[in-house]
Amino acid sequence: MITYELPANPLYYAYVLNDGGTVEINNCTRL
Amino acid sequence: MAKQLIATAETADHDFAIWAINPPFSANPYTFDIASWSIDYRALDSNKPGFLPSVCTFQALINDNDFTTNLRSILQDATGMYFVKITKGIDVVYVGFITPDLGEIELINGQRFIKFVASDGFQMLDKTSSLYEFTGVKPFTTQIYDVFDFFDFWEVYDAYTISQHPIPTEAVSLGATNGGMYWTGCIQEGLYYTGTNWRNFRDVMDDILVTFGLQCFQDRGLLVFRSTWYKTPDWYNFYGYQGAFLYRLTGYSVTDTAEVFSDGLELFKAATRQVFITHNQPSSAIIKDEVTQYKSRTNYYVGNAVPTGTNKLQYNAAWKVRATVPDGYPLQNVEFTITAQIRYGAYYYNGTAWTKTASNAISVTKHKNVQNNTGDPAIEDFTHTVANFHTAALPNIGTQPIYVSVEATQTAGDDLDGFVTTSTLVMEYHSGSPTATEYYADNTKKRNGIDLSFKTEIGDIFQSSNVATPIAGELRAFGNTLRTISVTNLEWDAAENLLLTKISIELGKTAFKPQQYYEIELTKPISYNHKFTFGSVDYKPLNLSFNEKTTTVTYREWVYGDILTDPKNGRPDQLLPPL
Repeated sequence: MITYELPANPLYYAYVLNDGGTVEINNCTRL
Repeated sequence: MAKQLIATAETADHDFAIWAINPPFSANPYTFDIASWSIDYRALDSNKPGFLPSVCTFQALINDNDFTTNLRSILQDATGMYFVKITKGIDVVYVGFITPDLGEIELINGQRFIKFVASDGFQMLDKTSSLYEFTGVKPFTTQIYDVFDFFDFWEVYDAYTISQHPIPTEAVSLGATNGGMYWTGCIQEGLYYTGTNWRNFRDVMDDILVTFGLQCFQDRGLLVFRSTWYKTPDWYNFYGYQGAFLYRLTGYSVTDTAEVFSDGLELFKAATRQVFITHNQPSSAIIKDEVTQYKSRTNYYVGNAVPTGTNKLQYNAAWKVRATVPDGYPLQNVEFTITAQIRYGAYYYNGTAWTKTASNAISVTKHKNVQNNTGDPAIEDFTHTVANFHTAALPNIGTQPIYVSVEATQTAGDDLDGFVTTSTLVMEYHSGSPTATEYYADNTKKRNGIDLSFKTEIGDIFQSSNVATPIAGELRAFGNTLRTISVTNLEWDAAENLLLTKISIELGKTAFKPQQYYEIELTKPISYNHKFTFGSVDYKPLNLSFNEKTTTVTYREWVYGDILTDPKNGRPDQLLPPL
């Protein structure tokens, strides 16, 4: 069995971060 | 900064996109055909801090008829910065900087194939850090962001994440969730330059990785910093622009299964026998300062001392024997004999010299007239203060752990209802501090193990006051949420151990015995940051490579346990609570 520690795509993080609001994928870039 | 899409390709399960960062032209994206691809993690082949580099190689067909849609121009481009992004549905599989001069073009049966090599970009860090200047104490999360920003990592990676890692207790009240590397930092001198020499970014980052015990690698488009001593970290912290804290991901776990389709050869990796971490900065005089902590100390591990040939230990302490006097205890003289043992490696200090025979450094008797007719049990304290006790010069036997035992026995009077012996402790160097501190973890009971040694410019340096000015190579914790003021003398656990003491021992624990070592092949592409469970044994990957359909991986069994000293060394085990 393989257990991953991190989600597979940044959309997941954006979802967690913004609680379903605006999706910002690249968190490190100044816009 | 702007990114432009240059070309795209599709395979059965994956999508490829080649981008250019700030190209001096307007791109008109075209499609191309992938012939084959693979991603290789060429790791350290053992569990230790550092970069785990990875490389993506892909081969494509060249369209010879149209030079505007010809990938070949990338290999010779003078100004372009190209990167490839591989995705599977909405999941990122890999992002990599294309290294043009590693490409090649091959003619096979009349068809030209072009090969590209893309990598995580860590090789670019071999460049002097003199272009980065800051004043004051800068947080490590900001330093990491800034360093990688010089190489346009944030055009390519989505964010970076640091797994569960230590935080000094001084910073916990500011918001433990932000993580220890958000609340600690250092000045530039020592880490980035020494005297007149600027170090490379790579050396700077290697030192930060050693000091916090981290591995750095790419996992699915994220730059991951992962603590080496957790099988599964409890949390991952994400940091964004200029190292700002984004959020904490706690307890994420998704499982998957894959068939193993080749037989494996079971080998074993050696246990770690000794770990040395050298903090390459002049030490302050203080080895450990627990001036207010009354603790029971039996073979209490103080820290490591480094002899200079002339330096000695200076011990200050307040001892306290707290006895319970039962009701009806008649007036009489009660006496306690309190002794202190000071051990340095296999040596005991006997009051005049270091010797291998078990001896006491200090022995005192304290007596008092005690009586209790109050009707209830009473408490009586017998105290003693040790002021500036000096040993002889430390024996020249290299860095060794120091242990202190303070023990009491009642030597006169009727039996009391029990007693507890506690003491404070300040251990310092006298007559010279070493120019570097070597931290040591001793697992020498495994006589056939291997030794690991690391060097870093950044670590704890105890100062005479916790608001003292930052000095070169010193870890500082911030004292306010704006991170404008910082303090020294950090406590990294309840026993006030130094960070590198903890890291060296944790590194020893993760290979305290030999580990199973397997190479197997699995039936699907699997990303690097995972745990593999097979027959109820947990494994972590060391080297890994995958392509469209399969993964070849070398696994190391996960072990974690106490390190033990060779009984013939004549000193106690270094048992510390886990981080």
